[in-house]
Amino acid sequence: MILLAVKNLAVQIPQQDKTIHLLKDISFTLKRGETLAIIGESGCGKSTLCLSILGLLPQHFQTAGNLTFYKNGVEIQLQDQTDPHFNNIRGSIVSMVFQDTLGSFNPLFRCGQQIIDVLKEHVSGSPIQNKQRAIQLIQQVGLNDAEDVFNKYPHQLSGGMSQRVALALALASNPDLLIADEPASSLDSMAKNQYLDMLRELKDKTNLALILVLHDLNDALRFSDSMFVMYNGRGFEYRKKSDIQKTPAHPYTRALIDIQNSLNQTRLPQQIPGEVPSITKLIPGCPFHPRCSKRSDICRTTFPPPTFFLNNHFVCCHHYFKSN
Amino acid sequence: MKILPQKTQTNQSMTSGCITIGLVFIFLLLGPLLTPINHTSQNLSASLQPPSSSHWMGTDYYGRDVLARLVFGGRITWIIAIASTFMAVNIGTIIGLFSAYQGGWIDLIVMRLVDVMLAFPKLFVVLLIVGLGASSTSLLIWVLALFSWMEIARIVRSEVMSQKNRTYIKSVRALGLRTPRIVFIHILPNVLGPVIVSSVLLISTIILVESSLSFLGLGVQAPSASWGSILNDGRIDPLGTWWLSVPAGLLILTTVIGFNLIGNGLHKQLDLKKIV
Amino acid sequence: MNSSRQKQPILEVNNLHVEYPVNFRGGFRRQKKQAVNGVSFTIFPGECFTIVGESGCGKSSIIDAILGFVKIKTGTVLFEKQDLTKLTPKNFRKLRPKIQPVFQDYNQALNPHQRIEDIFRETLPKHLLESQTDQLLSSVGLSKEIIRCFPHQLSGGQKQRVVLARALSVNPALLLLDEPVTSLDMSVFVQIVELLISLRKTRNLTFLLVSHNLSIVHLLADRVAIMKNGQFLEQQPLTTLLRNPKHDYTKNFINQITQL
Repeated sequence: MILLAVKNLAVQIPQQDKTIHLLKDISFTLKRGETLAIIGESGCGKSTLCLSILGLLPQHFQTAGNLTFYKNGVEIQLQDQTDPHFNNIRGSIVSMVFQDTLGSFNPLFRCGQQIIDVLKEHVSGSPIQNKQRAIQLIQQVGLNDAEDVFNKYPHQLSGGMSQRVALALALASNPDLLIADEPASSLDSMAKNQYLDMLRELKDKTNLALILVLHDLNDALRFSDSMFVMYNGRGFEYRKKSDIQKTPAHPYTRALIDIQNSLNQTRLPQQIPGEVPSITKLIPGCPFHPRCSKRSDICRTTFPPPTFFLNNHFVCCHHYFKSN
Repeated sequence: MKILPQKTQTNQSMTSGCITIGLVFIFLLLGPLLTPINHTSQNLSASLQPPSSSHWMGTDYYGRDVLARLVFGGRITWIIAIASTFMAVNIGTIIGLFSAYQGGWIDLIVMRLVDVMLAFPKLFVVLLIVGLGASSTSLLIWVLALFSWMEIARIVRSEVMSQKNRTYIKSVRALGLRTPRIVFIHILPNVLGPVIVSSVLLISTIILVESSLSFLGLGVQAPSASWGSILNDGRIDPLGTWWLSVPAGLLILTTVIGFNLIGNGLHKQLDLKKIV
Repeated sequence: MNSSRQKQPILEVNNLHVEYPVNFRGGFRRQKKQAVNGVSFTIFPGECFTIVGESGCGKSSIIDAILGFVKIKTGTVLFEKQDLTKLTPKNFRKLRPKIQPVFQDYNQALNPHQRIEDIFRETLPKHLLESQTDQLLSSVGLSKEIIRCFPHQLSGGQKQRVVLARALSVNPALLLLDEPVTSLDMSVFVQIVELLISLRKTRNLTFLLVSHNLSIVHLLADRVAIMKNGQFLEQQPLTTLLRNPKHDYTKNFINQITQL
């Protein structure tokens, strides 16, 4: 069952002399219970994509394209972000855990109170029911002494705990889709894996759809169902995780997978030459061509049209057919 | 996510502040062209005349041209304000920088000293000192500066505290640079923003203090003048001799508002840059 | 390994204790947090000694202690036979260039108000400035064009390269690498690791690496220490540690990270 369809989403900032394109032509669909990993290097537009799904982009950003949610058989178009209903829809369908989790709390209130405040907005219940629900949520994110955490102030939480309580806060509105921006990236690998495991279990239990924004391919390969590889504001490849892992179709994805494989085998990987381009710089043609080993003349001038597979999956490379 | 630079918003506060201050500045600069009369030349037969074609702003008790005195007094007021602000900012910045960078008991003592000095009512202390000493313009500048640096020192200190544990300071310390070099080359430029804002605001505070002192007769002494002392001239009959007090008051008001507007504008401007 | 054993150690840390005051209840009761609790190790010239542990285990405090940024409670830090804890501030400052840190947060590691060329003006002599800057930049794989840039105009990888170049400009013997690649993008991660490996060879550098990322540990480390709660659980050459870890914690740690 499809939950979210994003079609030809574009985001840009008009400036006096030029327009900065943050996102170009992004399309994907997300089913209930699916985990989509958005992979990309810093400045590729991952966070912008999340914010545009949430409708939290700054005022002066221009958006184009379609965002459609399907809930209870009803189609909800989220185009006009100034619509007063948007807040309601957003809160009850999508929720987000931000990278800076401690910053997403109000430092003056106890954690439990902040969860209850969200519950009040979205779920009608007596104060006692709300408290029980809040404690239940805290338990759900893998914290055993929930009563204790309920009464703590945000600054009293350790790094791992604040990640989890932020998740509980995001789940309080009972969303269908949860977006996690670089989940647990501030934690070390062990704590991060535990957190992501917990997130996966939670998703399986509640049939939640997940969007994980990651820059570590390893995490994406372990915790996602499908992957959306972004580069310089474009979608390069959108396929099932197993397909990408076995036969990466885009040279960029292939290079990343190669790096990950050789790191796992403790070999020094073949490096991708060059720098991650800044989004403000306009690169003609395929933005990856300066670093690509397969580039030809056409890559310098035109961006490759997507080659589609099943389920709206695609790859954007001029050389996809040639290399197969 | 980085927020990319936005189309520069028109900073109304900055523009209006600059226009106001600019107008007052031009008035002070070109004032002598408007009136050829010397600000000290007395003419007792023309005492307390309302504005006329020969004296655009009327005359005071001694028959001196008020316009000429406003120009001259304004210059004195501005010079006192800017000079003592300049000194206060220098003292405050240097004390704040070193106190915060050294930390420990030096910091503790310096900051308690600041607290003590802030606890005195500024106007009262300045009044006392100026009243005791022979009043002169340079003394006034010194005294005003000595009782205004504390806020700057505090602002600098809190900024340095947040900067000094940043990685780049750790890195240059590890390079083996000398402390003064680290403090002046690496920390100072990164704390200047808030200092500039508050020093502009300090100018208007000092103008007010100086005007109050001169109004009380303790600031700038006759035959010299400042806006405060001109204001004082019209004190006895403010309605009858409105041309003495009203223009001086308005000039003080506009200047203070103008500097405050610039301060606000700078604050916004510097804040915007931080996001980028 | 055996050959390095016979050499004099470059850094010798003995029974190091570091503690931080933690303000508790509004500062009325001062508590101390033990960050490093009796750590000893020696590093020989040319090797890469690595400290691995979860965040908060005290790894970074060791680096801060060696650099003299935190007060050492007890213990000695001998660098080339000189006890850093007993040096006068002036002598310590003169010794500082020999030990250079590279930190994780490359975004904050450069003075935002300084152009790249001015960074090198701090450390290089005037008459050699231009030639040496070019040489340093090319040795870390940067082009000359960036010298007029401010740090915010550079990408993450470029910033970390500049940080490395700055550290190299004072001809250090020992580099303290505190998670040098953890927050970098994948493609850049590999570039910087490769750069570190080649610099180590060409410049004859010794590394003290602190990381929780086993990928970089695999690629760089000679000997590894596992750290938990301010103490070393074990110290082993990398291959021994991976094949038969002694401690359960170490086993767990390696499994957690290498499973796929």
